[in-house]
Amino acid sequence: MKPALTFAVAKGRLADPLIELLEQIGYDGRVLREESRRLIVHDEANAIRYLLAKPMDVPAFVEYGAADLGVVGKDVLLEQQKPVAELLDLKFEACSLIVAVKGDSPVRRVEELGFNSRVATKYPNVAGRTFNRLGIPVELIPMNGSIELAPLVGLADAIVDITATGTTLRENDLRIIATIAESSARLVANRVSLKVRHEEISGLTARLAAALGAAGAEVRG
Amino acid sequence: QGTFSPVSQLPGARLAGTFEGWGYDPVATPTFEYADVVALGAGVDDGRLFRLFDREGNTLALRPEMTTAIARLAATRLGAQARPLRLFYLANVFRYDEPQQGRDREFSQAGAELIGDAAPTADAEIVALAVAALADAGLRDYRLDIGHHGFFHGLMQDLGVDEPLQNELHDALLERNLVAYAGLCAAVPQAGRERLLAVPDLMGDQSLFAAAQRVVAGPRSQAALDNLRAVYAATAAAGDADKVRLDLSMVKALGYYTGMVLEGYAPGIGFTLCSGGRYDGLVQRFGRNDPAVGVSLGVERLMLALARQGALPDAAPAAPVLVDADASRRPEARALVQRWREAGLRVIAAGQHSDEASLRAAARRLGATAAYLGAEAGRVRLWTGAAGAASGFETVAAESLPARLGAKP
Repeated sequence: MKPALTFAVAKGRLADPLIELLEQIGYDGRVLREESRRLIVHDEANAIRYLLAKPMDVPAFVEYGAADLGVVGKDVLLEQQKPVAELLDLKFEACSLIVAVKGDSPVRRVEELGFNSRVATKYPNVAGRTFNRLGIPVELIPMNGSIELAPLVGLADAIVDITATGTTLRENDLRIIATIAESSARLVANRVSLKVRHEEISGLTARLAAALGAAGAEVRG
Repeated sequence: QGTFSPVSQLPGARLAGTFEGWGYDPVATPTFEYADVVALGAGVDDGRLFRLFDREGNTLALRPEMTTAIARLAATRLGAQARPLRLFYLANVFRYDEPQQGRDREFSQAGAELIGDAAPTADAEIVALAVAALADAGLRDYRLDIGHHGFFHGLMQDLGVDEPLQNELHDALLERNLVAYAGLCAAVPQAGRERLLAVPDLMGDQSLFAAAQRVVAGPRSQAALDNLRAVYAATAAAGDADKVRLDLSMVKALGYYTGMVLEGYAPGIGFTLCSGGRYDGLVQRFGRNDPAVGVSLGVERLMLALARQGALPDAAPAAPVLVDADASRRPEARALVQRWREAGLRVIAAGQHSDEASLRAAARRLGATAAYLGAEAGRVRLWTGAAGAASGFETVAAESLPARLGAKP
């Protein structure tokens, strides 16, 4: 019996699009739907062992080989820059990494942000690299949630955050002044697992790609 | 870490032993190099070097790898020596990386360079040497992948891909970002695009050669594939085919490889154990046109792999024996200490104890056994603590001590 592939995935409802995709290729999604506190669940028939982790922690599991595979957003990959192999764009959880300011700010384009403006963000590495590239020195304020509050209460002049529909930004009177990158869920793999278990992993990747292609989604780079 | 091992049994020393056994000679090069010499190697990129200044204002760097310095040695001081040169090293190198398991800022490398032989049999010798070194170190489960720098790079050139895109494709493949790689391939016309898209999957056993032949697009990629076929044939002839697989998607971060490239893995370890390949242009940068091929193994990573496989050599060295004597027998004790050391025992000569009890207490604290030359002429009183801390001494003949304490000469 071949050893199971270990697959780190997000817990709870974030896993729903992945479960649908797995069921499309004939995998049993029930183990991932079960309401239980267990953090390791098994799909015996397909020899897969799922680790239920926080999305931000998936790259760590995969980098160290504790998981052979993982699903995680491109925004997290860009922020953490861990050495994992990125195999496939799974298309779901599509969103954009953006720079936004208060609606009534005089700033229209990101180049107009003054020197040493304060930028609040959950993505300090992405923000730091972005403003370095633009040649604008800023003061980064790392935050963990409700980043939109920062410009509203004068804590920051701008934010770097993700947005999907733009609703939260609009409802809080924030205006996008630049898009840094597009993000979506990605299938990642440990680089050694990719070599040592190449046939299984590329087989799974190909089946997922076929299911995504069949859904008629556009190709994203 | 934190325990002591017999120095001769340390994995690094065992690797050196393998290299010596294969006819390689040891070399040592400076820990500090001039930064511009390091840059000539175009090896490790700038941001990962430890730099310092000497008192004349020259910029020095702590060596990030050994191959560049050995290439310089081969071109200069060893320039007149007959080729091929077979050189090995066991040395610490320094890289400014984020420290983590398997990646320290200072780490030990054991490696071998075969300089002055361009034949595929030379590449195969290095592959076989890597296999032997890992086996001699005690590793049971491992694998070597071999590829060819010229295959992917030759393919891009055969297809006429422009250089900026070549660099981007190389970087995406190096990072194993296959999503970005596929996105970049979209910029290449159809027939070429299919071939490039096939590269990441070119991993497997020798049945791969047929698939790789279909991807070849011109003389450069053909020459690379033919060369790799010859190296693989020589490797199989040497009997190592079961440990070696092919990976034509292998690209390296170090910029000096020109031909065969190799990497070694162990299951359960998330990073490479060894890395190497052919680097035919490097020695020439220092003034002598020598082809060269080599491999380097990460000693700490090897130890991690051995630990995972439960194959680390028996870590604890034998306990030493603490020796003392009545004043009248001190000269005799000195002579015995020398003979016991020659017989392979680890001996600490004490000198401040005048009775057995005091010596036993000191030995207990040190985790040592105790041997006392007392009143009975020609005899030695031995305490091993095997029967308990407060147990008594036994009387033994001096010559029997080494055997009694399990000395390995």
